[in-house]
Amino acid sequence: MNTGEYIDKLFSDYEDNKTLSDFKEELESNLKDRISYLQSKGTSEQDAWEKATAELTDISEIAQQLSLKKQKEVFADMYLKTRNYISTKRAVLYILFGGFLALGIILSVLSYLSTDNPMAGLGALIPFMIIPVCGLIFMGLTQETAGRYPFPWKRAVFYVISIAVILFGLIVFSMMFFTSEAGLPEAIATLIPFALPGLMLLVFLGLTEKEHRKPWAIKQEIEIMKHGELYNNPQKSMKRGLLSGALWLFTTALVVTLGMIFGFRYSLPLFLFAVAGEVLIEFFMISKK
Amino acid sequence: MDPKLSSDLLRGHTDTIVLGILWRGDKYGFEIYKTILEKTDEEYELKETTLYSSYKRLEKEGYITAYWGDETLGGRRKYYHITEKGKKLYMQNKKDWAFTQKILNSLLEESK
Repeated sequence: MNTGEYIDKLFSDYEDNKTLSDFKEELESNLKDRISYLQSKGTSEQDAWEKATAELTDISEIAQQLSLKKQKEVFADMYLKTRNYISTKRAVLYILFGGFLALGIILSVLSYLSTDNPMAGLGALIPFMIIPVCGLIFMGLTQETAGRYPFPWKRAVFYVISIAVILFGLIVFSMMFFTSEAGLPEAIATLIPFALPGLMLLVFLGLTEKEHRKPWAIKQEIEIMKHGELYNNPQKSMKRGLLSGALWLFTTALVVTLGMIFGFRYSLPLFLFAVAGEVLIEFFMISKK
Repeated sequence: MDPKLSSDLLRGHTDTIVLGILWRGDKYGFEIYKTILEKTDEEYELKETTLYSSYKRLEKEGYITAYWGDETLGGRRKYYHITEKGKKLYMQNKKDWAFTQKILNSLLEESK
């Protein structure tokens, strides 16, 4: 038996991973050196082999630790997240952008309610929503989490630009829709210079995106896919998708229709029912299992 | 009866022994092992498992770092390098040991 075979046999009970194979390589080169050292001191080949390998018999303890440690790390990363990824500076920025966004929403609702003119509300959204949303998206993309590496900031900037342009386009679209004489056709036309190129950029970024999840997160996902029964079944996940798609389409149609008749002030809260419906669908899918 | 080396006592200081050896230069596993053998006139056969556990522990705590050598012939060797943190620990452990030794000596003195 050569040293490589011997070491492989020693660790045959343990699942091979990077840490363990590194360790095995280290062990083997040391074992070889040890044997030739003993031989150079006059020990016979057989004795040298026996002496050197005798010490390795309880080495499997370490192997156990190595695999165990690996599992523990994954576990700690997932549930007992020991490291805090959000620095104070970032936390302040998150809160500022969040506050800015909330302020924007309040201001826009207030100006709409006080003037009863959707233009006023939408106008307020342009600076008060686009800036904080972009800020939050940038922060979110460049944020390292337990399961994901941060995006490079340059790429995050492109994402932010595309989303800012799309948001701007959507707001302009709504403004045109509410104010223009021509209504819908003109409003749709405004999608061409803003929302469309923004969307194209976003799709391009999405298609060329690299993997940002950490290795353990990818492994975990594969594991979950293997064991998870709920959405593993493509038919089931399709049913679920169709169900919630129908729910949102139905709610949106209802909101628009009722909004036209009674005013959006009364119809918008219907979306809350859709959220509740979503939760119920989830519950239904889980309980059916 | 000839005095015997207390393996148990020595084993408790494996980390410090390893750090002390690495202070004089980066070494790979077998070199460290050999140094210990030679220094103790082959009296002390530290179990390899004990040593490997020690490397893993020290590396995890950041007292040493490991890197692969660029040997092309035979297997690659994993070298260990002591960090500043490791040097500090070594100095502290040495101080602790000197202090313990002093206390132990006076305690053993009394029981005579």
